[in-house]
Amino acid sequence: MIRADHLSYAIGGRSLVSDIDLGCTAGSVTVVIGPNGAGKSTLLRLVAGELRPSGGTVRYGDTAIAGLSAAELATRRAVVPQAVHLAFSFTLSEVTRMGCGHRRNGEIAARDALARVGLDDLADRQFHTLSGGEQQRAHVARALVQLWQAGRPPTEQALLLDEPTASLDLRHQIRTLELARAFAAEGGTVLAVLHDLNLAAEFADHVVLMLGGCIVQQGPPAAVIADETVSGVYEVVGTINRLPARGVPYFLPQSRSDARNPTGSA
Amino acid sequence: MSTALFATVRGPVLRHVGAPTVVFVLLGTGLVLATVLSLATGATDVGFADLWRFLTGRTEQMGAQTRLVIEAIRLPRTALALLVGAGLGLAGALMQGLFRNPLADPAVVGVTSGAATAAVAAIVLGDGVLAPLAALLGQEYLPTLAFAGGLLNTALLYFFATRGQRTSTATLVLAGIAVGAFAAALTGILIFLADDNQLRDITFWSLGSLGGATAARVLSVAPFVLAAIIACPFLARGLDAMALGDAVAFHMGVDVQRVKKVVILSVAAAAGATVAVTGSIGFVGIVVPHVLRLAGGASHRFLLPASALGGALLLVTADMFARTVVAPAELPLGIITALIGAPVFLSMLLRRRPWEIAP
Repeated sequence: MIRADHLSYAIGGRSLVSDIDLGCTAGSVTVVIGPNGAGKSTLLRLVAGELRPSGGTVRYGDTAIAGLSAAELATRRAVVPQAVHLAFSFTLSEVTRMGCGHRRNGEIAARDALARVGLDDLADRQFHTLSGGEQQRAHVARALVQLWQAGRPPTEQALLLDEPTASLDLRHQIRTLELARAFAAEGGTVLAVLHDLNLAAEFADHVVLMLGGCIVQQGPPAAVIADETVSGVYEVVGTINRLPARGVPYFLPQSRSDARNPTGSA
Repeated sequence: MSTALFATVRGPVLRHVGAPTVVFVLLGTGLVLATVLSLATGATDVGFADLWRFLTGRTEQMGAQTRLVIEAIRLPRTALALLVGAGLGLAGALMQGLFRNPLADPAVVGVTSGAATAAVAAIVLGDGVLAPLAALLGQEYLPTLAFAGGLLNTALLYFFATRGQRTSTATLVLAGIAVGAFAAALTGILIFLADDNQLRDITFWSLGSLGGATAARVLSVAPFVLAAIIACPFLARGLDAMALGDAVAFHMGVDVQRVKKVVILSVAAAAGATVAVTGSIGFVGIVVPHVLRLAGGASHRFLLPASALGGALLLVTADMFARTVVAPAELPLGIITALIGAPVFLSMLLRRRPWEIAP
């Protein structure tokens, strides 16, 4: 559904994303991983149409997004950004409904979306009184409302998530990504930036590993999340094991031995 | 006692109709009452019986003098107060939405000073360089130039105070001071160039009162304020979304740049053009939206029309005080709004919450 060809983005003479080819099929979850500054968020913002690429194109289906208006784009994709600062004291329900403007059935959709992220009993609370994790889940609900109310089938829509689990507890990390999976199960396309390799391995159909603005490797989780790629790209020590039953990889971090024991007396 | 009663009534009422509806009903009722009182009070007493005759079109049953007082003095003055108040309240709410900052106000950040400079230029240069323009625009000459001056200042301010989508209060106020000082300097030069007749016009104009209200003046400002009011329904959704930032608003399908352009045009029309006829009247744009946000929520679909109504109500009431407290003399209206507004502004600074005001 999403197709990026030779996508590049440079600002102030610095190249943040260079010559990326990426394909996300409808009904699948694609997860972008990589160290800080690898260009993951920039890639997501390029795909969202928020940044204008210095080179290359992004297509949703057969439509190049360069020619689409903000309103047309909004029917095709919703975005959950990393950090959002809300001005003025809106209620949670008002923020959720912003996803669809003032459409009449927006209220029902908002209540439904809030129920899915487990916030339905807080609908009338002031948004600023919610915890960081609750606010993040609210933005996921807002994105869902936007997609539901856009009048397109999920097969023509994408959900773009930039570290949606960053300030969530374990239960809500899993719950949020299950929502993304459910959207993919309806035929939607999900592109998410994640830092947690274990969540990526569990929830992704396709993993894209980035470093220095380029894609180092992409493929199924089991192929990308492997000892050599992870230690090479992240420059950390750790072990990649596989769940015995399903072969899903998981990463167990280790501190370097000299960090544990700086005097070296052992 | 009364608060307890209010609380017991408030719960069920709010549950059924919602706070915004209650606020609209209160504002509407207040506005009708204030308008009637404003028509009735002043240096000459107009009885409610006469007023009723006037309002129901039975003018032949009234004394000629009473009729003249209402038609030539009270009606234009009240109408001008309503229009100017609506314009200032609306301009404040729009500007705060644009800057994502509840302390933004056309007067505080110096937009009105731009309009004022343009208005003075219009008076001083009206016989010279700008004469063809004056002839072309007729009675719309002064408000149009003030609109242009306000527009220029708003655009400059936005350019200087906004970095990376966020507008810092400090930069906003400082840029406002600088832009305002520059505008004041230009005004000084123009006054220096003015002849005696023009000086009298400028002084009369800059006193900032509704005293000189005439039907012609009302009609010259009305199109600008009405244009800004008409723009509101198209701006509400965009401004709501922009409370989450420009990027998120864009994600949700808002053409952010277009909304910003229309907001800047509307602020210049609503605040700039009213300055042209009344001089600078401060703080209406801060106090009114602030109180209304507390009462009915932050949604611009509520806030924009309510701020127009609230501004109109505040100014009609303030004007009534202005011309009755020290009657037969008159207090300048700007003094009254500043007396109410400055303390509210300061209390907002004291009680500010981190999310309300960007650092």
